[in-house]
Amino acid sequence: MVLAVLVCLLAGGCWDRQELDELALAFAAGLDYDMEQKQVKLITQVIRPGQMKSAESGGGSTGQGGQKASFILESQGKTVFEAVRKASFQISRRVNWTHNMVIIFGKGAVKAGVDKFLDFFVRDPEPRPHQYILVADGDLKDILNFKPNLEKASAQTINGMMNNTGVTSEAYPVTLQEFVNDLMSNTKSATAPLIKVVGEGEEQKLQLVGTAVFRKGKQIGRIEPKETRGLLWVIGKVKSGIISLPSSDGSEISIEIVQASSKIHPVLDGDGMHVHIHVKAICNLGEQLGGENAKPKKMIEFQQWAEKEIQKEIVHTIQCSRRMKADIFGIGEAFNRKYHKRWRTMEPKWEELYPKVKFSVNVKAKIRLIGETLIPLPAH
Amino acid sequence: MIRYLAKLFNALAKRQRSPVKQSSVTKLDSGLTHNLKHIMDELGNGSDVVNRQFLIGRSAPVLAGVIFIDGLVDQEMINDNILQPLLRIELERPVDLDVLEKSFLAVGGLKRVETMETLVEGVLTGDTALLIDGQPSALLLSTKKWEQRGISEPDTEVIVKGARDGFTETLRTNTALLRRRIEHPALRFDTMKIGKKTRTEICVAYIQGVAEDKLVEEVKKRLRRIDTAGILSTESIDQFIDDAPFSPFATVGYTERPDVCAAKLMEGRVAIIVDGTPVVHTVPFLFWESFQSPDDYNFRLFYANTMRWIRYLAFFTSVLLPGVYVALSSYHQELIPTNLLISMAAATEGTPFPAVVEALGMGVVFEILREAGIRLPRPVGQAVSIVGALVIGEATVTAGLVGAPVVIVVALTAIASFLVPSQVESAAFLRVVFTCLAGVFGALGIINGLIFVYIHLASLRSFGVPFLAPVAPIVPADLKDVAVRVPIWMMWTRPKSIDSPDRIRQAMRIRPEVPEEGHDDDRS
Repeated sequence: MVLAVLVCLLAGGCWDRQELDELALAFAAGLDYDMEQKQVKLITQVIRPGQMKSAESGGGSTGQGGQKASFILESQGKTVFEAVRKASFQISRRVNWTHNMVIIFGKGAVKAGVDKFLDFFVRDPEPRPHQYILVADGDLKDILNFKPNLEKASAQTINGMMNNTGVTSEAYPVTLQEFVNDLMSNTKSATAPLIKVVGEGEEQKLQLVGTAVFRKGKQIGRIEPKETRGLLWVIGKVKSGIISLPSSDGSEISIEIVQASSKIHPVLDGDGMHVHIHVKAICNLGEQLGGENAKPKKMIEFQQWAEKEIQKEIVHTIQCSRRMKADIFGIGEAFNRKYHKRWRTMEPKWEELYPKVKFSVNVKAKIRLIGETLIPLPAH
Repeated sequence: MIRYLAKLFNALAKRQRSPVKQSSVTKLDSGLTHNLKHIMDELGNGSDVVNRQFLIGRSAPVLAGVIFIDGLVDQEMINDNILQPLLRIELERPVDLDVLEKSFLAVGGLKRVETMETLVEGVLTGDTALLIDGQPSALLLSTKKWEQRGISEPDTEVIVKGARDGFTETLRTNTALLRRRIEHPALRFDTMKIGKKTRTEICVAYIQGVAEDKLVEEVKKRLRRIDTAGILSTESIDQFIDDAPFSPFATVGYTERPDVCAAKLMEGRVAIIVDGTPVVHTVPFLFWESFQSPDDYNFRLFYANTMRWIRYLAFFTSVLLPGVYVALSSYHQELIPTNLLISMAAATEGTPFPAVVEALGMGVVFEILREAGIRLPRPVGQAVSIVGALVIGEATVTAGLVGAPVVIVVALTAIASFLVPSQVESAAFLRVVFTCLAGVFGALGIINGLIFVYIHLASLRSFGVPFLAPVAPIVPADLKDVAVRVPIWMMWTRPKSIDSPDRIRQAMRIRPEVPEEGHDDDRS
């Protein structure tokens, strides 16, 4: 009896034990594709925990022993998994993907189609479904090698930027799970934020420069940050942001978005396909440079301007998407939900049908608070 | 081999069962010198045995003698209340024991004995034997008094609000403390003597009509079964009457506080008081009692319940934390928040042992320090704790022998385990088991271990009451004092799981109310 228990314990256990000091934690993965050699190129950002903790190594500068808090591994392989294992092969520890924060696609990957690189990240139990997907606008390696100011590794910076997009709502962060869902949809176009290193030397910084639009895994175009907010308005994901407008006398006002929601109503009738988009935004008056005091009448005027401005952003984005024939809003799925039977005939030719959809945009903005002063400050 | 062992055991048992030689009964002789000599022989002419002979009466003096054991008796009382009156007798007619008993001895407890054995037994418990020449009987005078510790607050069960008295080593003091708390004739103290050599007095305390008769009988039956040379502490009694001797969980409760003991008696439990130890055992003992503290009932409701939950949390921490730490750090890194993982990885960088060895090793170090701290004289004990905390805790981390997280985990575990004093022993054992399971199987091991422990707990019984009652099996009426302690005025029944014949503890409508203005109290 004791023997049996002992055998079970000793034979059955420990097989997947990995001590913390046997792990190399990957924080970011860069994926690229070499068309000529047909090779997947993987750049893995691995952290050094000791350097991550020590205070001197702030800003990615050299820490104890002159080491950076993170380093990158480059590996190649026919498949992602092969490259992943080859990355581990170069160092003394096994790369652990459980805390990977971001996956960034390079130029080659978005050209070849990103869908063929993601199977590993979805199938393997280690990577999380909530890591962010981005597309590099520029050199992939520069982004992963970037020395951040506040964090220790560029992956942490990118992750933080993604969590923080709500301040302007000019980028649309997508997680691996959302991205894969969009890729698997026959009609919706997947999107991923574009990231770029701008500036030189000490002035270098990472910047989100818009949104990449995909069709069937390949990038077919991009939209600018302002247009990205248009996209977010339509799908109701605007969290906050500033709308700045010229006041009636020419001075600027800023309206802070506090809360926003949207409804998409698809209608199929004799005329064809209509989509009514209703957007509701609750705003605060954030700044008013000159002009009249904030009276209720004035606020109604401001509300109307804000509505107009939001509508402009949305319409602009819709035009962009029409041009690309890319249904980035998931309009097709809205039709599917409402007109399930007729959708089946529409689905195969959706790419051609989409630009013909007639949009009507209806924005309701409400200014709720005007802040702690009534009189605009440059009072003259 | 097993058959051989069984055979050996049977042989031993047979030898045990062979009739024990009955001690013969010797009648007292009428000659004083003979009697005294016999008693002195019986007691082995011990240096602490005092034998004093004197004459009583003036006209027809009679030889008399007292025997007592120095240190067990009140010398002053013997002098003032026994010897003085006897020596001053100026009776004309010859004296006998009847006359002495009725007219001269100023002693409360007095007993007439005929046999040598009872006499010797009485002398050994601190009575004084008075014999006179020419009479085949003697008087046992109750003169017990010995050096004893005063009533003080028990070190092991300190509370913030409430009574400060604790049981002592003397049985009589302990029963008196209980009587003071429960002044009702139904409070019973049934005594028996256990231990062929030690003859330890053991007292079964209960309230008749509140404690179930069957329970009292069962306790007495189990106590009577004990056939041993000596009982020196309550703990050894506990092991003789335990329901599950090989379980890490005790099924007999203990307390050093009369207020706690009285409360348990009031719930229909039975207490076992052993002479010579200040620890009183109460049965049946249920798992959830471990988490109840007298302070729970003394403090305001919300604070008391918060503290109870902290205690539950601390128990789980002390059992599971090292195991969970080992499982997370060596198997399930994905469950640790990223920043915490970086800290942990940075702290364990370069340590030579796997997490499970670190956790077990530091656990052993802690137990060594704790044991040393208890055993050593107090001034040295402090030095030990300094060495332990600074040198071992700090230096091992600085030297890179173990990671700082392990030290934190072990320290937290150690402190947490003392929040639930009656489960310290089980927690210490289970902690090691869970750490090993986590080291081998990860979270899977912990979960299976927990299931196993739950099954075991559910299978335990304490004097016929399921150990996990009133939670498993569920007794809704008794849940008033498990997860939360309801206000005292709502506890109007006694615990149903203990099955007291007198279910009602108090009146139902005694919730404090503000009297309505202009009306008398509507209850009257």
